Amino acid sequence: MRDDILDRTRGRSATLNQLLLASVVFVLGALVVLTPFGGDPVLFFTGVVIIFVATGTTILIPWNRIPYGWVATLPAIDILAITLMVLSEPASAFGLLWIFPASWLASGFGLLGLFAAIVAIAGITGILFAVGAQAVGYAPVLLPLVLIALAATSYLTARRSDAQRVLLAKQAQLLTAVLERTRRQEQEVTEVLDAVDFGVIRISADGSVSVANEAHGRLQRAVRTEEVAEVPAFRDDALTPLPRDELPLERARRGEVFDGEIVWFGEPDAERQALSVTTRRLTDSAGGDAGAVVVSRDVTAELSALRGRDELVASVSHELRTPLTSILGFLDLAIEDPDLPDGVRSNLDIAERNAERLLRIVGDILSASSSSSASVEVSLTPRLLDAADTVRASVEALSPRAADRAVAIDTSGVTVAPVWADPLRLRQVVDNLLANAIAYNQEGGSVHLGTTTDGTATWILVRDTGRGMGEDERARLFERYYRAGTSRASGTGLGLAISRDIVRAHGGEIGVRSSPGTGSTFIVKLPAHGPAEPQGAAP
Amino acid sequence: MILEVTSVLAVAGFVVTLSGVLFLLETLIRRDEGAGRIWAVGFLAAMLMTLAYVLWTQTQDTWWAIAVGNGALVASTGCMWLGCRVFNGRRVRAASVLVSALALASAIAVMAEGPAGGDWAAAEWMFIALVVLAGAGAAECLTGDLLASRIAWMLAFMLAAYALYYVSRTTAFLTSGPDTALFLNGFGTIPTSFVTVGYTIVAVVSTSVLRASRASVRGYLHPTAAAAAAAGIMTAGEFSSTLAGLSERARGRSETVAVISVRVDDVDQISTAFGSEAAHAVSGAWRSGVRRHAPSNALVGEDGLGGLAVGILVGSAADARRQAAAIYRALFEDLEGVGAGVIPVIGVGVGLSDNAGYEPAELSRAAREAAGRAALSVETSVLVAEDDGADGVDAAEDDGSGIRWSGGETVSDSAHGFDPPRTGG
Repeated sequence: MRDDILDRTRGRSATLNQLLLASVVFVLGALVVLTPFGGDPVLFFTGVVIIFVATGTTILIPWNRIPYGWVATLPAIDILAITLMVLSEPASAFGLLWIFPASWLASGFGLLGLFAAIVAIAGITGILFAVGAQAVGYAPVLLPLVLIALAATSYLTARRSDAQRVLLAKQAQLLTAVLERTRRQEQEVTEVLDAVDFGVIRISADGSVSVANEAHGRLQRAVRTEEVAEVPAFRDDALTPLPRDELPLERARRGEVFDGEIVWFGEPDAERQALSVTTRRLTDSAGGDAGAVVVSRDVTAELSALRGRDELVASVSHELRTPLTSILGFLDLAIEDPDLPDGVRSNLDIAERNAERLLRIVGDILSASSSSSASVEVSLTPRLLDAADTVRASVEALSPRAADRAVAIDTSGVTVAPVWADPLRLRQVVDNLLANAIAYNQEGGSVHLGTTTDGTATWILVRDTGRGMGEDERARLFERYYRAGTSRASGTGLGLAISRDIVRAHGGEIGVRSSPGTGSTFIVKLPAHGPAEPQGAAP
Repeated sequence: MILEVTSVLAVAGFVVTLSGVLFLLETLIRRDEGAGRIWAVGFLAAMLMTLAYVLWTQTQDTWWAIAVGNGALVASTGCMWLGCRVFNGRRVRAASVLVSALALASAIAVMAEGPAGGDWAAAEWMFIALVVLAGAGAAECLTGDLLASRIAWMLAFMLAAYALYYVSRTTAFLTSGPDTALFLNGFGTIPTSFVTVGYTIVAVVSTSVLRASRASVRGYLHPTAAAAAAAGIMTAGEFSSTLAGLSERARGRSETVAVISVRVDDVDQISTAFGSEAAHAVSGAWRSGVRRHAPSNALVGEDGLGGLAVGILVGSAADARRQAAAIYRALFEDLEGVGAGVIPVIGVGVGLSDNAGYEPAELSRAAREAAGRAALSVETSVLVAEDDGADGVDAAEDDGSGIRWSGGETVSDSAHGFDPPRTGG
C-alpha cells in the first residue's frame, strides 16, 4: 500500500515537473513568436516541440507501472531540448531553463541524479564554449556554476526531506505502538471499571468529573426514588445530617484526602444505603495537582450485619443478666446461712465468684455493644482524684493473681498525679490493663506501673515483660472481640475496646508501644483538670 | 462587420491557450488515469498548434511551422476521439496508432512540399484527417457510457459540426481552390477561427464535466452519488432527514438515539506533506472504516468536510460509548494499515438524545463538539456530550466542562457528588 502511494506520488511529481517546464517554455515560445527573434527559429521550435511531446508523453505514461528509473529520461530529454534552444540563440538566457531538469534530477534521483546533472550541464556548456557557440564574458562560467549550485541545493534539500520523512515514518510507527498499547490499556481499564462493583470517579484538576464507571451509576440509582429529588445524607452514625458541602465528592473537589469515610443515604426510616468513600490525589509529571480518584463502596450490608450482631449480643446479655442477678442473690443468702457445712460453703464461694465473673463479662459485653462510647459517656460522673490511689488500689486487688503467676509488680513509678475522671471507670481501665499485663506476662516476669502529670494532662503507664506483639496485632488490639494470641481462651476480647471507650469519653487517649519479645507498654492519657478550670481539657 | 484577421487569430489563440491551461491545471488536481489524460494531451497539442500558427503568421520563411501546426491540430482532434474511446472503455491501441499516423502524415505532407508549398501546403491531407477523426469522435460520443451522459451529446454535436465544416471546407478547397472568394469568405481563416473557438469552448466544458463525473479531486475522496451509495454512506441531507425520522419514532417509544461523530482534520496537511495519494488513502480508510465498523443497521452519513456521522439506537449511554469506542479502535487499526507514514488525529464524540434531546440537528451538533474536544483530550479517546445543565442545578459550577466518558445519566448531576440524580433526562 505504501509503495503504491509512493509510485502514484512519483508519477504525479513527474507530470508536475514536466508541466511546469512546458508552461514556461510555452510563455517563452509566445514571446519569441510575438517579438522579433534574432536566433534560429527552427532550432528553437524544435526544442519547443520536443518539450511538448515529452510533456504529452509524461501525461500519458502510467508511471506507476514502469520502473522509477525511466522517469529520469524525461529531464534528460528536457536538457537536450533546452540545449537546442540555447543553440538557436546563444546570447539569450535560455540556459536558465536547465534549472528545471537539473533540480529535478538532483532532487528525485539522489547522488546519481546530482552527478548526472552536473556532468550534463558542465559537459554541454563546455562543448558549447569550445565550439564558440557561447557568448564571451562571465555568463558562460557563471551559468553552469549557478546551475550546479542549485542542483546541489536541491539534492541536499531532497535528502533532508527524505531523511525527515523516514524519521517521521519511524516516529509514526513508534507512536502507533504506543497508541496501540495505550488503547489496550484504556480498554482494559474501561472494562475493569465497568465490571467491578465499587464506584470510581475521576475528578480533573478543575474539579469536574471526567470519568465515572457503571457501578457508580448503579450505586447512585439504588437509593434513588422517583418522587424525592434529593436524598438526604447522614454521617457515619447514620443519624446526624450531613450538609451538602460536606459530601465526600464535594470535599474531594476541594482537594481533601480521606480514607473510608462512611456516609449514609436515605431517611432513617426508609431504605438506606451506606457508602464507604476513599479519595486519592493524582499528580502530573511535574508534581502538580492532576485531580483525584474517588472510590465508593457499598458497605450497607457490612454495617447492617455489625449492627445486627451488636443488637443480638446486647439482647442476649441483657436476658442473661436477670437470672444471673437472681442466682447471685440466692448464693449470697445461702453463704450467709450459719448452718452451712464448711465444705459446701467453700464450694458456694467458688460458685459465687464465678457467677460474679460471669456477671462482669455480661456487663462488659452489654456496655460494649449497646453501643459505643455514647453510652459510656452518659454514665460518667468525673471528679478530681489522684491517679496514684487508683493504681495502688488496683495493684492491691490483683496482687493475688500476680502471685499465682509469680509476676512481680513494681509500683516505684507511681507518684501523685491529679486526674479528672470517674473513679469507678478509671479503676475499670487500670484493672483491665493490669490484668492483661499479668495474664500475658511470662512466668516470673514483672509489671511496672507509673503515673505522672504536667499539670494539664496526666499519664498512667503499664509496662509488662510479656511476649509483646507485632504490627498487625497492635493495629487490631482495640477492636471489639479481638483477642491477642490464640493460646488463651479466656476473656471476651472486649476489655481494651471498653477501656478505650472510657478513656476517650474522658477526653483522653490510650496508646500502646510494643514489639515481639520485649513486652508491651500501655499509656493512658487523661486530663488533669476539670472543664471549669481555665486550662482544663474538655472531657 | 469587417473583422481583422490578426485580431481574430489572436482571440482564437487566446481562447485555445486559456482552455488548454485550465484543462491541464485540472488534470493536476484530479485523480484521473483515463480519458482525462488523453484529452489533456489533446489540449496540449492545441496549445502547440496555436504557437505554431501564430509563428507562421508573424514571420516569413517559417513554412515548417505549418507542418507542426497541422500535425498538432490533427493530434489534438485525434486525442478527443481517443479520450472518448477510453471513456467508453474501448481499446485504443489501434486507434492511437491511426491518430499518430495521421498526425505525422499531415506534418510530413507539408514538409514534403517544402518552402514552395505556400500557405495551404498539403492542407487537404489535414482536412481529410480532421474529418475522419472528428466524425469518429462524434460517433463515439453517441455510444456506450457517453450516450448516457447528456453533456456528451453536446460534444457529439460539436464534433459532428466540426467534421461537417471540414467536409465543406475540403470540398470548397478541392473544387474552388484556396484563393477564391467562396473559400476565403466561407471557409477562410476568420470563419475557421470562429469554428475553432466554439469547438474549443464546448470541448473544454464537456470534457471537464465528463471527467468530473468520473475522477475525484485529489486528497479528499469525493463521493460521487453512486460511489457513496455503494459505500453505504448517505449525503448530509439524506442523513439528517433519515435521522429525523428515527428520532421521531424513538421519541414515541422513549428509546435512546445516539449520534456518533467521527472527525479527521489532518487530511489537508497530510496531502501537503506526503502527497495527495497518502491523503487519499487515509481519507478512504477513514470512510470505509467508519461504515464497516459501525453497527450494520446504523445510519452513516456525511457531516461536513472531514466528518462522518453515525446514527443508532442504543440501550444506554454506556452502550453508545462502547459502540463509539469500537469504531475508534477499529478505525485506528485500519489507519495503521494504510501505511501513509502518518496517523491522523481522530476525534470521536457521542451525542445522546438523553442529554441533547431528540432534535437531529442538536444531536449532531453535540456529537460534533464532543468529537472536537475528544481529538484534543488526553483523558479519553471517546467523549459523550455532556448535558448542557438542562436541570439548571449549579450550572455555574458545572460549566459544561464536565465532560464524561461513561456512567450513564447520573454523572451529569455530579456537582453534588453522591447525590442521586434528578429524575428524567
